[in-house]
Amino acid sequence: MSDDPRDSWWVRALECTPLRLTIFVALVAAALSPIFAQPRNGGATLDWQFFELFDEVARKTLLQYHQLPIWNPYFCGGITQVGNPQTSYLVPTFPLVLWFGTTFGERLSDIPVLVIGCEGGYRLIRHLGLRPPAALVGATTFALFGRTFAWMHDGQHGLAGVSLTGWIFYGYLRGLERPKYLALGGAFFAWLISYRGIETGPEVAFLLALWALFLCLARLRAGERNWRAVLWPAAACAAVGAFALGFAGLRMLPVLETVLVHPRIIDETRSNGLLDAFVRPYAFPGGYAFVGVTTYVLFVAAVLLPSARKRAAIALLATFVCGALVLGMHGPLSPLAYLHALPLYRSLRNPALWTVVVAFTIVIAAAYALDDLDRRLQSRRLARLVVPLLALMATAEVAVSGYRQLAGVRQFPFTRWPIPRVAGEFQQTRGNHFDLAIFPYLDLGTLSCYDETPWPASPRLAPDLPAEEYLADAGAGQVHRALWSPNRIDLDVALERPATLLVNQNWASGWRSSAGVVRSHEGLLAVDLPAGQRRVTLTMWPPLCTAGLLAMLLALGAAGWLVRRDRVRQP
Amino acid sequence: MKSRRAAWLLFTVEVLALGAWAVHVDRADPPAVVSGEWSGDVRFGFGEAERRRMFQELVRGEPDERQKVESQSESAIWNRNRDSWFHQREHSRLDGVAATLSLASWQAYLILDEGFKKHWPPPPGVTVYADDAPLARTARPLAARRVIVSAP
Repeated sequence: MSDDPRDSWWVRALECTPLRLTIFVALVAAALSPIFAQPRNGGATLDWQFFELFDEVARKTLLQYHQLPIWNPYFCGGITQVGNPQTSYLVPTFPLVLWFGTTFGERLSDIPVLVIGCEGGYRLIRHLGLRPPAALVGATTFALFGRTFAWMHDGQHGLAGVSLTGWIFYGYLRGLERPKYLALGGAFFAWLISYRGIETGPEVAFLLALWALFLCLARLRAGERNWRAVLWPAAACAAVGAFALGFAGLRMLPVLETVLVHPRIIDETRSNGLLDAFVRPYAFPGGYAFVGVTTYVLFVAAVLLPSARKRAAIALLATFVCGALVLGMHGPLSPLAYLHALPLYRSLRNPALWTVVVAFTIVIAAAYALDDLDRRLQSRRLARLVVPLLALMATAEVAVSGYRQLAGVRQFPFTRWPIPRVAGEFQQTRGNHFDLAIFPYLDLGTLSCYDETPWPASPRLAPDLPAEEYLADAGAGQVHRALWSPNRIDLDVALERPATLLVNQNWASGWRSSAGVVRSHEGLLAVDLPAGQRRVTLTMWPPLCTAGLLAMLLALGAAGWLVRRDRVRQP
Repeated sequence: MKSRRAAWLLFTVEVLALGAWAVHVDRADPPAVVSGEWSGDVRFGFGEAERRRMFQELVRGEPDERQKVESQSESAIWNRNRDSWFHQREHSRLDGVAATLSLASWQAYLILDEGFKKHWPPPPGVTVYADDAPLARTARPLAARRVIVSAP
């Protein structure tokens, strides 16, 4: 607890980690309670169904087939599951989906993510040297900002992972002094990007790089002439990124392949006017970046008060730079046009997402302003009342407005009755992408699908075949399915002459066969087999997954080395 | 030190209470499992003749919808081709038809799938087409598509 005698009891209590966590759990559970009114119901929006399908496929692959979710045969005729940027199963909260089922588990996952996000925000602000009331503002107003709740309404499952940004910055900034914390920042970044962070990860990465650049410049300005010392913030930033890629390696290498080989279909002309860039996303609960009126007032104070402005300079500059990116594409004068020239940033469709990192920097600047006020008033009894009151107001405001956002839509979007599991032999069907989530429960793959990633799909996929595995030359012999699972298909094949075996799924580079030669036949998975009778086993394991596992081991080894080095240096 | 221990205890109790609530909800309303097996020719309590009739009802509106979407423009964004427009209409129509047949949506899709696989005849004047390749930017004309079933 805080040992400052002028602190009120609750400010001192905030410094007690378990008490603080207890408060965060209560706050988050209360704010999210409306989404548990019908916990088994599914979301009816396209997005809820889209993400439910991916999580249900991952759950099914793990629990029913005891395999890693590498391949998804239930969507678009078969696409990669591990390399799909939209999936969110390689995260610490996925056991909740495994245990409680997809619809309930997905919503339950948001509670620990937001609680941990609040804690990260608190630790970051405290690490910046601010006092507990300011840290409370930093903890809650970003994690519980407007979009957290709007994403839950829309069905953008996983994007709440951006609330872990506080941990990434805490790990990075603390790692500048004790490098083992760089691994901590990287681990949380890995969590963020694995939790559908392909949408918000690039923005957070940009903000981290920007922060590092400002720190390098600040060291130069302070008269530092040792280049190693000047460039250390940039090197530490790169280390956080490397740890993130390493920890999430199993998934991130295949995802990077997807993003680079099949870039998203995006609307390049999207742009925002001044109102849409600087006012609307911030002004209303549910807007992209609503962090509460109290926080805005504090942010304005950070801009106007010289002492606060000086301390919050990096956050304010970052707010300005990222805010300009929200304007989107306005020809060669817009900053986003230059960012889109970078390989990964080219696939970012919606400039409004930049408001998410703007919200983060606004919150940090606001925390500085509150802390400034706290310090100015420290000798007055008034401080004991005003500062905690402002912190509580900021917290209550976001929690209540979030609750109201969700409570106002108690029936929508969770109007889809639970789908029972109906076991059957896996087959492709015509399906319907407006009812996407239904099909994996029925052991059917839906050929009707939609995605921003233009997955290669065969025009020969058929919804009405008597068997999913068949011979191109039907008279050449017989094929019988012996065992089927998403990543492995065992077939008994008897051929009188050489023939091509066709599987009613898309070909991809990770497919291997125990016999014959695997190839693409007009996009279909095909195996050229010699005559004879044999068991043919088709297995899916992308080579990049092996590289990804090695990257994970390397990252773990490097983290272990840093922890050990830290122990030796700071016994 | 004692107060810190008490605080950890409080936190643990809170998390356990949340967990207990989740387990209670999970057990009170577990995910349903339905047998998809055929008993003779009966599935979900319906004989094959009944399911064939339901299949006809479920595909009856397709020609009209296919015709209406011909006027829609196609776009690569969100893969909005004519198959996509068709399925948007089909989704609403199937909900309505399934309700009149006292079927859940998932049952309607299973009966549709059975009809596709067994090539059950649609009602007079109806031809049921497969989609074009998934995620295709533009859908080929129906005449160039795989026909699943056509009215005799």
